[in-house]
Amino acid sequence: MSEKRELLRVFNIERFATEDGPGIRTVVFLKGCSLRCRWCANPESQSFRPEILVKVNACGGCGRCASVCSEGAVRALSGSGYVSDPDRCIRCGSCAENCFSDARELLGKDYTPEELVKILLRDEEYYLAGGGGVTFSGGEPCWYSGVIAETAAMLKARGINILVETCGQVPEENLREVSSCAEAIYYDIKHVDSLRHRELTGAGNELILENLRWLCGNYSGDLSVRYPYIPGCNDGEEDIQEFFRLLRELKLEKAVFLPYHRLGTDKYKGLGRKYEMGEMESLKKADLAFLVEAGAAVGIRVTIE
Amino acid sequence: MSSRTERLRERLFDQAPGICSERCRIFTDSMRKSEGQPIVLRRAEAFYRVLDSMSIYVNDDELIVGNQASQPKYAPIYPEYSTDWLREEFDGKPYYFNERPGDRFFYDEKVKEEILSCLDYWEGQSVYERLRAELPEEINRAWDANVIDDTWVSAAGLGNVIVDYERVVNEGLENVLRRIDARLEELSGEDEETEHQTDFLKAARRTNEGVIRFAQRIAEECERQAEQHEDPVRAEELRKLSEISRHVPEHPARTFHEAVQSIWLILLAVHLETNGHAISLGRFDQYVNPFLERDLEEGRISRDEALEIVESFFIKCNELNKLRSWPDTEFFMGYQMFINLAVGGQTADGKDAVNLSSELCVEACENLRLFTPSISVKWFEGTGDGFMLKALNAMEKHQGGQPAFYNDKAFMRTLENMGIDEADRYNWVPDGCIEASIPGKWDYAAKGPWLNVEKVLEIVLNDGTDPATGYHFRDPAAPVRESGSTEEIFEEYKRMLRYFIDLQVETERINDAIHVELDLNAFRSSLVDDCIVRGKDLVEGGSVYSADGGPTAGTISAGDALAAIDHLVFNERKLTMDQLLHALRTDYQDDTTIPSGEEIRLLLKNKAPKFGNDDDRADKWVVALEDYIGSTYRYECRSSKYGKGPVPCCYSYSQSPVTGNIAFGKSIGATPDGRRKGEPVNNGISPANGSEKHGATAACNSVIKLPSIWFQKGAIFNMRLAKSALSSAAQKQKILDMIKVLFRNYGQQIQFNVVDSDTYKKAMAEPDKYRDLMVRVSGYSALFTSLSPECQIDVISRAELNV
Repeated sequence: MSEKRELLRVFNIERFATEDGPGIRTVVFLKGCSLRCRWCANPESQSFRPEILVKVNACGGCGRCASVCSEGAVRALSGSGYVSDPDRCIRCGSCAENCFSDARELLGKDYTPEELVKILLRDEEYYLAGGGGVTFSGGEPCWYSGVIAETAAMLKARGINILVETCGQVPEENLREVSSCAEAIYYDIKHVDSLRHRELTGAGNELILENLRWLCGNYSGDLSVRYPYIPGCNDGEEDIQEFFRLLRELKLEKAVFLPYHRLGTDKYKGLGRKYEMGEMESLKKADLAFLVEAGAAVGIRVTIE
Repeated sequence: MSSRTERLRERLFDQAPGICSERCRIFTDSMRKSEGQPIVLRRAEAFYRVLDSMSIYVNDDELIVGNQASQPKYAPIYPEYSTDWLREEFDGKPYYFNERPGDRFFYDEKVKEEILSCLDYWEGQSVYERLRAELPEEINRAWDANVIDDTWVSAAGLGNVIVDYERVVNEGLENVLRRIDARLEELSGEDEETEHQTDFLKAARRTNEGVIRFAQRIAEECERQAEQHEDPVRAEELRKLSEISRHVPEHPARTFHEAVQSIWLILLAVHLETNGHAISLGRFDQYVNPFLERDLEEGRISRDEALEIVESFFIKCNELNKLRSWPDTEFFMGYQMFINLAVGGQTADGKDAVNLSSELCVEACENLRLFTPSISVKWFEGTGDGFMLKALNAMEKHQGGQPAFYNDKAFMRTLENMGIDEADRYNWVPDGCIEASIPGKWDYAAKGPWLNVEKVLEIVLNDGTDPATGYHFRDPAAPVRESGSTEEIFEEYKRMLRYFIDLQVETERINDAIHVELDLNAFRSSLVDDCIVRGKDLVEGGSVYSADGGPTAGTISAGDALAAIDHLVFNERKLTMDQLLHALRTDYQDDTTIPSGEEIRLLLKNKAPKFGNDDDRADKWVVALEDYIGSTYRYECRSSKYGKGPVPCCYSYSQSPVTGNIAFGKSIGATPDGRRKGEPVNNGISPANGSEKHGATAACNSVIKLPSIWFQKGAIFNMRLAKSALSSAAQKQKILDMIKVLFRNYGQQIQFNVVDSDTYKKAMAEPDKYRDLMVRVSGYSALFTSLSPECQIDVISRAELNV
């Protein structure tokens, strides 16, 4: 994954995002991540390859997609409608183009920094009206550190604020490159124990913690550490205390908790994949209110988003 | 909210709307007796009689007193405008008033009989019946085909008037009378014109005396009750209210309380003179604030007491009601009076005009959560963020889209283009839904037939014939199926629009002439410059400013339709013109074609660009269409008052269709934007339902492209907000940032619906529990539960922007 990327592979551009940093923002979602978190709400973000996502509720079941597919990659899957087999799909997009219900989308479009900037600047006035800007999210945006730096340089020259959301599972040099152009970094910690981390995400957390330490020592921007609170995965009292201890050790004073939600379940269906969280119910912000007090007890200012 | 306000508000909700026969009876009796005299004097006398003998009530807790009908929310009847529908609907056709699907009115047999007994007198000489009889055949056909519709200003009085309240509170009606007398003395000569001017001025005198008499009668009722009231505190209040009503509006107000009571009485009187709606209040905060500041300074009133007076006044405004025929009701669903009240904006020397009264109005709006008056915040570059955030807070609590936000910069540019004097421009206010007026100087901020813009496109796609009625209006240059480009269709569309626009103008010319003959109203005219000097009623050309133009509906949908033709037929060639036309004519129901009708509909809906997504492929068609309609109205059309005194007497573009987008949609067949037959067209300049896919900034960017310079009569931009979008001060600031960008780029107006669809669904299932749930349908708010089910579904189906 260390080869130099020249294009940004984007699976979504969300305008007027108001939940991802200061001011009015556009969020660029970049495709590809080396973690496989069980609860991931954006399963379409994981693979670096383009893929077809089916909005299962929009699918009218006409089967036109299957009939236009030259590779026979589209098949009817009970409960999901027509899904594409990623091994046979050649990402030509003809099924999406021929879907009159607009239920199929080919995700993973490549942009040069110039092309992307042109789109992002459509909302320039809105960013500048209140300290807003562009958020790079994913997937894992740091895999695109070089092109992000290039894109960000063009945006920063116009006074646009840059924020990057990362899981930290990237080479330090990538993080270094991204951090030099971002006013703020949202950094996810999923579990402090590496073995458990491996069980939950497919990888240990050594690199993630090492990178966080590096940021704490070297990054001068706004660093926000975030913890997705997932019942049965990382919500044990000891898990939380370990997390707080880590923050204190790094002299970090605040943390953001993100309640588990199941808004991604339809996407798993649309990709023909199994949702590993089963029937676990979504949490509400109020369910996590107790963490504010728990944090305060150890000197950590907790917010729930 | 004080406990008094709470009680008043609760009582308002307990009161069911009804029909009152008093005004109908007294007015008709008077008119019977005055046959042969000039109409202006006859109507003045009848108005006087109504004010002199209608019943008066003063209810407990009220701080503002005086009433429009026998009970709160009862609608008086104005048979002089139209009678047929009253007879029919009392007979249950299409519904009894108390069994309508929406906007029900209750009545008893006595009221019904009393009204019916008056109708014979008006037979054949009411405004609406006269108009339909006098219109040329081709206009009546266009009306019957629902391409144009002038019911609202012929079956009812002319409205959208903002009289000079500022002058009344400062100078009293006594000064109006003095000016009338001075003018009467100046007039000499025996010619017909002088005679008419003299009659008008005498009528103006009589009507002003009637209003003063009305105030005295209210004072008497307060006194009567004071003597009998068991509670000494209320008795004292009643004595004070009596004293106030003895003094205003005849004399200049001396206190804040008197100023507000004076304004209320004028508002009431204008509503009793005709039933034209959208009688708005102008810059209330500007003309009452000097009284408030003085009272506070001199210790006569506390801030809380002032707020209570404002709230009591707002509640009174909700007691006003109007009965419309059922077909007309479908255009104005939700018991609408369209009483607009503006706050903020700028002073004559360009400073921030926000004052304590502006804040009280916003607080009252937040506390009361009522739909009348419509609170409108005027924004300009100097408006402080603090006030805007306060208004956004109120909007969050209100949940019905109030306050709405208006842009001085855009409206003042429009008014400059129309030749409105620079000294008057800053003082503009939204009247009614949203149309710009100069208070005390403009006649009717909106008037004239509606235009069903997408219906005209349907007629173009049927080579000049309306498929529903079979009426053929105009031959095309060539059959539409032979069109070689979207531009060719667009050219034909423009010609067809021009044809119907000319019919609109001709309709209104005839309508004006009938109003001049039958419907002169000296009281309201005496409070608008320069009617007294000219000795003319508003409809005769008495005002300083005038421009006609009725609401239009469906321009965005029609632009989307052109974009779909362009994209799918001429660019991507996924459909042929024949396939498209066949699918439209069969309402997408022919499943024997390839692609099938339904597939074609989905293609049009989902695979063609739509306005509201910052996509030039769609936006350019909407812009071209709006530019054509707007500039044609502005430069090619003249109202009947042209050359008679007022300026500019052009037409102007209105895109505030209230619920007319639903009413008109019913008569339009399937259209190329993927709309099925009978479905609503888009509302105002808001993107069509379900077509916003890229969020609020993209929708704003599309709106910014529109030529708002033509929109003197307003263009509603409705945006649904999820509650979370306003969950904190930081979130509200983001909404404010967005409003500022929209406004700096000449966006004219924006209003928000803050609510979850779930709430609406629950309200549909259990209306009793949600009787105060508000919704901003279009240019106004309404009680959600008062809307018809199809209107409610339309509200729910509006795309919820992910903000």
